[in-house]
Amino acid sequence: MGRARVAVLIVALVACGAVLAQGAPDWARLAPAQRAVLEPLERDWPRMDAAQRQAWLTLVERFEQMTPQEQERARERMREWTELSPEERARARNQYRALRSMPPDQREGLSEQWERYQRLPPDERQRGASEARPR
Amino acid sequence: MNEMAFGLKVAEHLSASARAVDPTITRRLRAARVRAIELHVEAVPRSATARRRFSDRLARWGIRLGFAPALRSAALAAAMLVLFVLGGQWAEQVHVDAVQAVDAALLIDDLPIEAYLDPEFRAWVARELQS
Repeated sequence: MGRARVAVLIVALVACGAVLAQGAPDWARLAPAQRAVLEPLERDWPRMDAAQRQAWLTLVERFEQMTPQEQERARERMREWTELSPEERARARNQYRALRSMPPDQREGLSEQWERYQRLPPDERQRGASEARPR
Repeated sequence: MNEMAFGLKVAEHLSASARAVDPTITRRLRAARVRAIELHVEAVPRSATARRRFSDRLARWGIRLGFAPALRSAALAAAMLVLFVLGGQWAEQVHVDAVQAVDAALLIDDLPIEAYLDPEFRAWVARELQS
């Protein structure tokens, strides 16, 4: 009876493992359309874990709904994004959520503000930021 | 007269006596029996009946599938394990979906990724909006 119980548990664990492993295909096993979208990531693909691969495959599904301009921009930024550390990605996501939660009229001006911000000398950027923080 | 013959004689006598009972009394006895059966059915709780029926059905399936009690408990443990793993996967998937939505938006956003990595930019924007 004990053996039967162990056998059933092993079968269940193997089944669960098989389900989890399905979400992380190797580069060679990707569909041609997926490889075409993720081409900038081919070099990094073997280093990615299952969760990262699955995240990029989900992006492929979103890719079809993007405009050609957005697709091009996404391709350009893919490598840049994979080269970031997990902490940097988390920081970028948090900053994105914070800036995008601003009212629409303020959000529209962000590109222009970024242009202005980049033209500022470093000390002035930091001074401006430190003045804003205490409030 | 042996015991069997004696029993048959008694049964014959009782049957003959029963036929001799007054029809009014027969009707009253019949009504009393029907009422007693109705009361007994009402006394058994419906949930208990359903529970017994369900457990009987489970037992029938168990017998039909040849499940031994130990194997049944192992199957239950395996089912719970699978549910636990699937539940964990589902929660993880919800989180991944939310993160992935932000990632996809970041990749196509008007602002470069650099803007979202610069910790001073957000504070500077806040100051600009205040002034």
